[in-house]
Amino acid sequence: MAERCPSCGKLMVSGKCLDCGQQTALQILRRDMFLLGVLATIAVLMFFVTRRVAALNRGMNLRLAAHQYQLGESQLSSGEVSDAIDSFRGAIARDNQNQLYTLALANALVLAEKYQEAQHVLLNLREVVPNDPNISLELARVAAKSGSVSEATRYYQNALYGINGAKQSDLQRNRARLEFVHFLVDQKQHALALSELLVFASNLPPHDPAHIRAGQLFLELDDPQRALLQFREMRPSDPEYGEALAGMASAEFQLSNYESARRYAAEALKDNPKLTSAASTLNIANLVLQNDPLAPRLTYKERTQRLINSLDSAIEEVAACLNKLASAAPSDSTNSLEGLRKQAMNIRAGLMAKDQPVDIDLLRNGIGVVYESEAAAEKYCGSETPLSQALLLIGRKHGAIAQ
Amino acid sequence: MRPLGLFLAQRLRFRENQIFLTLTILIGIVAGLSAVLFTLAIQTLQYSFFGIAPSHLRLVLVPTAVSILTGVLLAKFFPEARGSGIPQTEVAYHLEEGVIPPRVPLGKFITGVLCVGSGHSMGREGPSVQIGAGLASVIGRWFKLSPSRIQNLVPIGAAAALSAAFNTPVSAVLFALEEIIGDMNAALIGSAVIASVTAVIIERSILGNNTLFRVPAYHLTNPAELLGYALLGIVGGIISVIFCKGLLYLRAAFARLPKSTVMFQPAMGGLAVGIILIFVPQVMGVGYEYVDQALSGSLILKTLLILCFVKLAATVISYSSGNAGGIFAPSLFLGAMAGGAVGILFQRFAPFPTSGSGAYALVGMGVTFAGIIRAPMTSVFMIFELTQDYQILVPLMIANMLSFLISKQFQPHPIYHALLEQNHIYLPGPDTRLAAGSWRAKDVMSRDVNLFSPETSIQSMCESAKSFLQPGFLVGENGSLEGVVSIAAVERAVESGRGKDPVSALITEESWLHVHPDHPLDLVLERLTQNPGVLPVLSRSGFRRIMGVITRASILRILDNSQEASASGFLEHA
Repeated sequence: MAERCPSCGKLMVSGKCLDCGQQTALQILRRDMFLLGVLATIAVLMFFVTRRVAALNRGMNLRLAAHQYQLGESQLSSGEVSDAIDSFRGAIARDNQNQLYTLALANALVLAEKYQEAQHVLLNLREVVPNDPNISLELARVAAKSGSVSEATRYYQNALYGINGAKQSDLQRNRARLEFVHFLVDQKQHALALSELLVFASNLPPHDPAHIRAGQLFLELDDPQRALLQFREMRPSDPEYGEALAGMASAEFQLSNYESARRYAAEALKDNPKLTSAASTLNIANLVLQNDPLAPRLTYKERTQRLINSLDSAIEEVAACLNKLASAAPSDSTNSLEGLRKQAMNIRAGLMAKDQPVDIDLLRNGIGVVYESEAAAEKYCGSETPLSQALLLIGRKHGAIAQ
Repeated sequence: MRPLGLFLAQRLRFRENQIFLTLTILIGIVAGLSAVLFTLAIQTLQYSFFGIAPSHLRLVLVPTAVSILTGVLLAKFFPEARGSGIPQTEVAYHLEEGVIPPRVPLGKFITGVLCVGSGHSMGREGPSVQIGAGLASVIGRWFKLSPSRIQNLVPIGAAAALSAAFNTPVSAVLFALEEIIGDMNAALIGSAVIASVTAVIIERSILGNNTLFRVPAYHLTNPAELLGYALLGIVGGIISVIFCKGLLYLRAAFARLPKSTVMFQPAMGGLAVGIILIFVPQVMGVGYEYVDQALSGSLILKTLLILCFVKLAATVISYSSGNAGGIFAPSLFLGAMAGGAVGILFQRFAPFPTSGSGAYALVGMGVTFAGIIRAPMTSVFMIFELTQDYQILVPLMIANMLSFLISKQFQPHPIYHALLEQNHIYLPGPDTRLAAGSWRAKDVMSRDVNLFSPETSIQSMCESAKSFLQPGFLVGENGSLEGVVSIAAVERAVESGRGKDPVSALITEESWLHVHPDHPLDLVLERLTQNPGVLPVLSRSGFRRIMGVITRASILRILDNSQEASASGFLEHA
């Protein structure tokens, strides 16, 4: 006899009620849908809550990072470099997206002479921001400090000529170029320095005080002509005109235009009496002009007297040098000096004995002996008074060569 | 009607498959979010407690005071939340069919945040794993899934949580397979991948794509450098052994203290850690910012060595005293410091150019992970995932292998298993897992166990023997077995005049064997022949807790019942 289901009263099959089974299955499915809905809702709510907490946490970290950065800056300015490094590291740990913190850390590491680490920090940053010229510039500075000239040159060039994603103003680029020039001058890479300096100077606006610095650099690179052009960019109304005049004096001095050098130096001192370079230039220019036997518009007697005075000075220098070397055994130096002294004395004696005008060859010969004597005294005894400098310049001007 | 019934049954089975897939994704989301929240909560709490430049008093007081609170919570409300969480997850998976009560993930979250956030030198990955696994278990039971499905959800939740906590989805899946399941061929790999990837997507959508570490670009400067990495493997292995031995030793020492101190032991650890923090605050918490510095080569040799050994000591103290936190992150920390130190020394003395110390720190992380956690595949893939550079694989494998071998030589049991064994919990080994689907001890045991009290006299036991049909007796009380005694031994004792002695005097460790419920039948039969005709089945958790007994009669009875069931099924089908 077929059994009936005690729940619904329907006939059962193999001891199971299919209707009740179907009901149960549907209940299970409905329950699952409900639970899935609840779980999905919980997941969504959790997502938003977590996102909010993450935002608050991020804000907290950014504030802390800024605080640690400020702390690091003040530690750096008071000379506490290691503490500053720790502070910057703390700032980066909390906010590693901020380039400023990383650059500050690199700078602090350079100050602490931890060049390799600084480079590592910057290279890591460069991987994140590959085209940033500021990073290249910092890398160049690190390489320069650690003595890697070729690397520093490469990074400087990258900073100036690379494809720069970040905006770099012309002013920033020109400042970087100036820094590069200084570096090249220090490394005695004059050819490259000159080419960069030309670009730098050409990018300067008219009457910009940086023209003075450019001029000074041209002088260091033995290009007084271009230096003069730079100094002439300044106007009398500019506050730095005194410096420009001093620069012009130096440039004219290098060009052996001692008259112009004297004039510019005098004007510079009038504008700013504290310009020591102008004072020195003026003094020596005056000595050159006053002691040059071949200066224009002089009488024979004046030329002869100037030469005699120069010979006297040279003989004194040589004698003083010989006295200094007297304790040493006779050597090539003492022999050379003695020879020059005798030569100078002979010429002097010859000049003193002559009643007639002295010919130009004798004057040149005398200037040559004076030049050699002064050069030898400077070489062996290191003596260089302003008059000695002036006599050497006179000699060079007139083609004398030290033997 | 019959086709409709069949359709419904199939639909319900299909339902469980679909639900499982959907739940895998939802568990990935929930476990991932829980791991992210856990990390954020720790960071926020740590800042709230310590600020930027905490005073010495604060460094000592905070871990101590907070540990008093966590001690109470762990002792009274959340005892399963102690420690790492990974061993507990393995126990839940292997021995408890994946059942993790809801208070476990909740308690772990609260106590984990408090412990790690208050400065204890512990990691957050282990607790994240337990939280994720616990949530997965709870969700599976909500849906009333079958026990095997619930069990399967545990490693899925664990993988998802670890993936979000460490931001390495592949390694997280490997870790779940290698460590929690213990079987790289598990069928769960697909589900674990789905959950892991879901979790990491969620994590990155909230925290961004920032990597956990700024890993240096790796390159092998000179092939001879492999010697340096081999040296690192040896050093890492030694450090791993020191760490494991120290942890187990100190934990055993704490366990020997009176039970009344259990609530205060975390505070004792907190005080010790607080004092350490005064001198070396860098070992506070997880410490990943210092790992970052080691990877970038920013730390000098002295700092690396100090941090390595102080972190080792601090972690051992924090963990052994019963606080809630993991050893995953500390093991990476130790490796990074040790690696950096080896790198600097090798650079100093090697006659050829070598890589920077950061490269060694990177490999070092994998080395100590392999030596301490003893998950070699995970350790290799984790570092590979961080660097995404194939060049690192060769030195990494060489160093990891050496560390693994050294660690295994001196510390045979992996740390997580060793910690469980200290609590008298024995997880099944690979040999039992291989016998999946076969007959096991639990299938042939009888749950009707007669235990004789140890105080029973030998004489009365001899008289009882006449009514028993088995050649041996189980001696013990309150469900705990003390030993097995044979009838022959009892009769010999009576004949020699020892009838009044208690039967416990006849028990020796060498005289009896036991099995666990998951042991395969071939092992059962082998041990049954070596025992005096009766083989006790002991639980893997709980010291000598008896679950059943196997005799020849019980095996035959099971076989008879099986044959009857098969016959009736055959007739019914016909």
